Order: sequence, then structure tokens, then C-alpha cells
Amino acid sequence: MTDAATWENLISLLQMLTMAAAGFWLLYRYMAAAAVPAVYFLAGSFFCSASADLFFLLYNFLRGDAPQYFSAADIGWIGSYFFLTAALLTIGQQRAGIWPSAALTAVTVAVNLLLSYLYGHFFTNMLWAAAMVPFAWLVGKGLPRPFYLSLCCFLLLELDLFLSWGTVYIILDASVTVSLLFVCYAFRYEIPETSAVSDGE
Amino acid sequence: MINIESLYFCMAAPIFIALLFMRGKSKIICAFLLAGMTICLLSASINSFIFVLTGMSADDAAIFIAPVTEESMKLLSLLFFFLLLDPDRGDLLSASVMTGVGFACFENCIYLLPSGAEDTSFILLRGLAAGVMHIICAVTMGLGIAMVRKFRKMAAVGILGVFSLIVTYHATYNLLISAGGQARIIGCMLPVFTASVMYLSIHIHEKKEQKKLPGRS
Repeated sequence: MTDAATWENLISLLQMLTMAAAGFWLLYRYMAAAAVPAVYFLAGSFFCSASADLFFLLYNFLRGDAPQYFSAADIGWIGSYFFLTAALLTIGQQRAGIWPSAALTAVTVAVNLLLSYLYGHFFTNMLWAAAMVPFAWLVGKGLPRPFYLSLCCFLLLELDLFLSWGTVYIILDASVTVSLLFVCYAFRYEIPETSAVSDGE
Repeated sequence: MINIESLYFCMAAPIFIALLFMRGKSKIICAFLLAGMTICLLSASINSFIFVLTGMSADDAAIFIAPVTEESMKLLSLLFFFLLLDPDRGDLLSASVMTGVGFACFENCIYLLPSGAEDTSFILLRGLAAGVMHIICAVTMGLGIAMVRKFRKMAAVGILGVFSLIVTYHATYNLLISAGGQARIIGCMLPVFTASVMYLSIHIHEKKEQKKLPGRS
């Protein structure tokens, strides 16, 4: 295994452990806050991401190569976007205008189309886009609140990650992990509003 | 070789007849046991079709195709129940558990009957690993649907998220089992470990909920 591959696996391992720990921490920290479904969705997103990392790492370790087809790792990573979207829908109360949402959505669509053009796999990239576009739209609607800012950083880093390779890829992968930790931290600012929304359900 | 359609008929026909005489919750339980077996039969057919169509190896098919088809079929049956009859949380959980049980039982029959069921390790693998794994996946799906049902607006995205989580878990189990050696042993222990953690979490959560009820100290 090359040095780059070893670093990539190491970062994936760290990401997996961080995501799992963040998921459990969220459940432990906010379990007492009654009726906060966003906590479950956010924790679900972290667990989904961690399980996708686990699958990817195990596949790499057991078979000595990355998955050749659209794999469970992709499904897990895409699923984490669905959970994040569900969490944002639960929180609600977005205030920003249409432009931040439109800009983030346009960037997301453009990157996915570019990936399809560069590497093929149109269907796979469209599945990613289907999960990322509603998420990007909702993130744009909540800016500039801290939680939404951290999610915006995460989204942009992830899109950069898709277009990178080599050392840059490894650095961006590590940055994505750090950005998700900020997401976890910034979530505290949304708790009172979430409770208010869920009371109205 | 056995004909799985014949096996299905032998097992499903008495359950189907029994359903006609059942009432209430036991009817739901029995119906979903039958649904689980039917889903297993359909998934096996779809898996075989895609396996031939794509020309993948058997291991690759088990890792890349089987989790998606099997879990989507289970999800569809539970969604059908949820959308059409709008059951309460208890019924939904019972239905999901029984779907998993029906699936696991029929799949175990398909695997064990041709080999004569003489290899103890294989019997343990099918019973305590694969069987438990299917139940875990089905229960998680039931819990997921029960959770998102309160929030109609994001129910679809939430269900897709839960589905992704389950598919990843199922594929990870299949990957470990197909690898052999120590990975296989870890794979065998994974469902029982997960089931224990899930059971404890649900048990603790229910106890906390009971304490919150008025009139209890």
C-alpha cells in the first residue's frame, strides 16, 4: 500500500471514530432535552457516515482495493445527507433570502455535473446530487446562523473533496472531519428553537 | 438442489389458511411472518436475476446487490402497512420484527436444507448471525418509521436515511462473512453484539419514559 493510501485509510479511520463518538455524545448530551427530533436525525447522520467509513475501510483492508461498484459506503454517505436534511427540516425557521440557497444549490449541481463529465458514472453522481441539493437549499436558507455556517463549510469542503486527489484529498478529508465536529458543537445554538417547533407538532 | 418456490408453498400455505381464522393483533403478526417469507422469496429471485445480468462474482453480489434488494423489499412491505393502515407504534414494531423473523426463517431453510444441516458451525452462523442480522435490520426500520411518522414533512427523507443506515450495516456484515478467517468470526459476533446494545438502549429508554409518567416516583 502506498503512503497516500495509508494516510487516506488513517484519516478515514479517524473520521469513523470521530463520527461514532460525536453521534453518541449528541445522544447523551441532548437526550434530556425533551422532544428534540433533530438530535436523533443529526446523530443518525453521524452514525450513517461512520458506518459508511467502516464499510469502506473494511473493504480496503480485506480486499486491498476500493470498491469497484456503487457500494454500501456510497449509500451510507448519501444517507447521511438525508439525515442532515431531515434534521434541518425539523429545526425549520429559516430566515435568509433565496440567493444563498440558489448559490449553494447551483455550486452543488455544477460540481456533480462536472464529476459526471470527468469520470462518467452519471447515475451515481445524480444520486449524490439528489441527496445534496435539498440539503444545500436548506443550508442556504438558514445562513448566517452558526449551525448553518458550519454545515455550509462542511458542504463546500465535501464538494472540494470530490474534485481533489493526492495530498489535497487527504487534507480536505481531514478538514471535513473537523467541520463535522463544528457542526456537532454549533448544534447547541439550535436547541431552544427546535424544542419550540416540536412543541407545535 | 431444492426448489425454493415449492418450499415456500409448503411453509406459506398453512400460515395463509391460519390467517383466515385469526383476529386482531395476532393476525397482523402472522401476516407479517408470511410477508417476511414472501419478501425472502422475491429478493432471492431478484438477486439471482441481477447476478446473472451483471456477471458479478457471488461474493460481490452478496456485498453490492443483496443488501439493497433485501432491505428495499422489507422497507416496501412496512411502508405499505404504514401508509395504508396507519398503525400505532406497537403494531408497527411487531410487524417489523415479524417481517425480519419470516425473512430469516425462510432464508435459513433455503440455506440449510440442501446442505443437510450437519455442520454445527454453519447452523450457528445461520441462526445466531444471519438470522439475528435480519431481525436487527427490520427492527431498526420499524423504529425509524415509528420515529419519523410524527413529522410528516420530513418522513420521506428520514426513511431514506434509515434505509441507507440499514443497507450499510447489512453490507458490512456480508463483507465480513464473505472474507473468511478472523473477519468472519467478527462478522458472526456483530449481529448478537448489535442486538444486545439495541435491546439495552430500548430497555433503558422505556424505563426512563415510565419514570416520567405522572403518578410515578
